[in-house]
Amino acid sequence: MGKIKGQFQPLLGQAIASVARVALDAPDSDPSPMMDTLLLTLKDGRNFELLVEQGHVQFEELQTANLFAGFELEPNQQLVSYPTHAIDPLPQTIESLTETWAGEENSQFLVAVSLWDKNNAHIISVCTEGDEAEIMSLEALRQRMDEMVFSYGFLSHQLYSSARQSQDIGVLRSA
Amino acid sequence: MFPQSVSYGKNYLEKFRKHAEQIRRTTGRKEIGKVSSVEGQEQIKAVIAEIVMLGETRQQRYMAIPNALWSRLGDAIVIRQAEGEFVTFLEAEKGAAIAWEK
Repeated sequence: MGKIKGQFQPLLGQAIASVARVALDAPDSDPSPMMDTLLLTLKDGRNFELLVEQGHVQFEELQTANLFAGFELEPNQQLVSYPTHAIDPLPQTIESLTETWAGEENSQFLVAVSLWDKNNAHIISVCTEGDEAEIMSLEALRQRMDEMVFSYGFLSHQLYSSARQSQDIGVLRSA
Repeated sequence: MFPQSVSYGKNYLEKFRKHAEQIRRTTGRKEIGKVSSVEGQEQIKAVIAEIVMLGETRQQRYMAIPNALWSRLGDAIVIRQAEGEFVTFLEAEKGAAIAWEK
């Protein structure tokens, strides 16, 4: 469960046009953005939704306008898009991405994904260590990774690029 | 001695919705009602209080919280802020919960 490597590769070479959270909307309250989600809209109009659950990250292109959540909606509830300003400026084209995995083989889970432009400049990082999609600066993510290696004993990084096949780019292991 | 009180922040219903099914499954409390009902919310709060009261509690990092309180009873883990505010519910030996064993 949860070990789907390379699931973000459809983003390679694509330009992100907007970023949003999925929000729960009900008649008697304002839309409530859900921190375990992220919605990326590409310049070509396609939408991808990220849902983070404990030890499991789901990233899917939405074939219809139907957003999804990690629980069953009640009849008076619906899911809507809730814009954020996580990336500035937009659009930005993704040239490569890195996935960071924690834990040994049988318990391995995705803890972060970072997107990079053609100059290897950082676009956005999302930490998926817990049960939220935490949008982070690169510096904050690196500090978190320093802590993760002590929490999980093992971290590995995987690079995916438009120009090259995926490759392991580093491994950290606690003593 | 760690605090055994549990308080709830403004987004606790969002967290209950996300974890209700996991709480039912992990604790065997299939009778827990819908999160939209007051009864269901009180049932979840009672389960959380029980895990905190009867479980083993440790203090260690969870996400950006360096001194989070982890209370484990069986496969159920409740994460709280150091002062007792409910953060989340985890299932043992999965994802971030493997840090319990380290």
